[in-house]
Amino acid sequence: MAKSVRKNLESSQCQTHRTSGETFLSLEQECEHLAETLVELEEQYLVLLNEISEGVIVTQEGLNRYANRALSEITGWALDEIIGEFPFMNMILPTQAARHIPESAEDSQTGLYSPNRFQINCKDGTTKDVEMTTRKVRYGHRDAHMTILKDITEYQRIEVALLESEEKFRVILDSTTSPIIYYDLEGNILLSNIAGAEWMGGSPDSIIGRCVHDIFPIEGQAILRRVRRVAERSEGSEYEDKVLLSSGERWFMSRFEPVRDGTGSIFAVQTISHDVTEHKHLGEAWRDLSRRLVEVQEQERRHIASELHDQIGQNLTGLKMMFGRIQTESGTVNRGILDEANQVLDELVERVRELSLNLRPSMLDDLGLVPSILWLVERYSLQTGIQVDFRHKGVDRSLPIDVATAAYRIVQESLTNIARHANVNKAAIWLLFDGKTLTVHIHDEGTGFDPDSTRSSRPSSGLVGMRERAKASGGKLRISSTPGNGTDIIVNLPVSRSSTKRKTG
Amino acid sequence: MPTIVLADDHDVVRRGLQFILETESDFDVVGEAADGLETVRIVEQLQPDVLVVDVMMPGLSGLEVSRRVAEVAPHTNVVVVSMYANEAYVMEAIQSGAKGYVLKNSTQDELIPAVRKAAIGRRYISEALADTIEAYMKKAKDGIVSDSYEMLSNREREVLHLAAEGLTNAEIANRLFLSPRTIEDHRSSMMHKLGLRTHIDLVRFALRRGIIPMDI
Repeated sequence: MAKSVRKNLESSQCQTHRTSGETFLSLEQECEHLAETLVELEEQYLVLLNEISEGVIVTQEGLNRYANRALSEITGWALDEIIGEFPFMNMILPTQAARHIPESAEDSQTGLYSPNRFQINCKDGTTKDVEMTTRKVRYGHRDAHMTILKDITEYQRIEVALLESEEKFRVILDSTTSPIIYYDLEGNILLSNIAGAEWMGGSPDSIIGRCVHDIFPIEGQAILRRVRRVAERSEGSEYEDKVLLSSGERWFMSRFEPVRDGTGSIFAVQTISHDVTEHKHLGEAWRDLSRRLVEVQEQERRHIASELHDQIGQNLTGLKMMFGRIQTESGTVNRGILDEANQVLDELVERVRELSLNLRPSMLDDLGLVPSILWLVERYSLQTGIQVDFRHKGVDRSLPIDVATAAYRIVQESLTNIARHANVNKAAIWLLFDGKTLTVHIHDEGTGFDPDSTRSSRPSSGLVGMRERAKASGGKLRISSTPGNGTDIIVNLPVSRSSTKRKTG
Repeated sequence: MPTIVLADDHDVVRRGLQFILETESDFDVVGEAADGLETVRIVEQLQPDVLVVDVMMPGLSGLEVSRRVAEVAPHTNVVVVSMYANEAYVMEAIQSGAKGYVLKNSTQDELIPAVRKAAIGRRYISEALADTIEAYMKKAKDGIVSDSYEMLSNREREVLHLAAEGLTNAEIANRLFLSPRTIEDHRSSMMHKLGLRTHIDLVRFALRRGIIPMDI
């Protein structure tokens, strides 16, 4: 080693002489000075070689001329075992060894062999992954090879683990039928599973790297807007879209979620979409069904109510009149029995009438909504002691009967709820008809409740039924209530122009 | 000797009414009908002093028959018999021109005086209803609101006042110790009831009503 360093210095000696032209030292002095520098340099060089973590070995004519400490540490062989005739090349695993014959793979220009990965057998029988670089050098005035070895076992392990987890991730991505796509904040597709690519009309390879609005000029703009909004708010969001696929029109629910890098800043947005077409159809079917249910129930009630009232009630009434005549004419004969029978008849008539009215007040058909609610409120106040302030504006007989019925039922249900839960002695009803919408507002200042938790805590409240009824009439029901602050139930029922003309209510 | 036409779609009821009327020797039942249209035709033809008609009739209701009779037989006075002890029906019956309103429950005692009064053009209302009809009429009248402001709940009025003063929903929510969402609900309900669409509409309304002073 020292010899080669010395040789290299022969040329620099002259240089030093020339550049330091102003100092005049004797040749002897200069040589001495240079030799000293040389020794210092060699010392530093050796320290460096022994401190670095890469293994270094110099081979020449089949013999190992030099090895550093790190090489010994990596392989487990002592330095004096390595130096000499030790078959270092045999430690490199056979399958890989072929690629490490220096003479065959040499770059003729630089004498450098590009780094390559191998496995190496250690003294204790284990193998390590190494990266090797071999370079042609001069050693003792003759050609030699210097090989630098880097232990990459740990690195390799992490890399393999990473590849494995990437593969797992890929399998999961591709096995789901829900489209999953990652966009960067400019709308470029970073990643997509097979379903996502199909959704976009291609394969993952053909869409990755492209911008979404290059693929979908119109819808892409909307997607990009959502991506930016989600990133700005750093909060996920859901969107529902109608998508025209080769299989026909489908509905998708897409969840957009921000994706953060290691430092926590958002660099991408992930979208997962679900086909909700069936769900949507079911929802529509469900709404149709519940509308139908409300209609049928109302029809049935009306039918039974009129049967009770018109047939049974009227016949009982006729019977009672005839009975009255008998009573008048018989004077005192059988007085007791006749009186008692008359009383039974009265009760029957009354009972039938009540039943019929509870099922459906015929005055809704005969007189319209306002008198019906007036009547309802009066009975309600008598039964519950709750005073109801009823005000209305613009509500007349032009209201179609189905709208009037829905409004009546909602008022009825709301009043029942107030009596059951609100713990108040006052309530208010406002009815407003502006020619287009009938607004029903039922208000109390009672205990109130949390509308969001109603389904679980108050199943009997009939709110669900009220909602269904409003929906069935194409209207909207809004409940505004907070515990301790009373309740407002506001329903807007649309009245179409054509139906007002029918003038049934 | 008052002439009478009886109209009810139920044979039993017609028989019953007849039994009662027959007890008065000077009453003369000259005709019967079983549906609304037939009733109008018979009354027009016979021009009786009194028509006793059920409130509910197939074809035309008793109330509608009453209206028609006023046109085709102005001298015939109508007595409505009804199952309903409900003031709304009485009011409707009177508005449609009927002179009497008798509950079927009490026809035995009330039908004869009602027919007698109707025969000379005077009004008779079943005792059970006579006392309450006026209170009902007042109530029905009071319920009719011409000023939309009266349709607002106290909360909605508070929101209107504060919004007119320029407060945002969040500020109103703070002031009233309610959630902004609740305020939003009250606000949209209030705007709808008043027929207002924009905030400018609201301010105009408030100015007009003197809710906020003109010089702001």
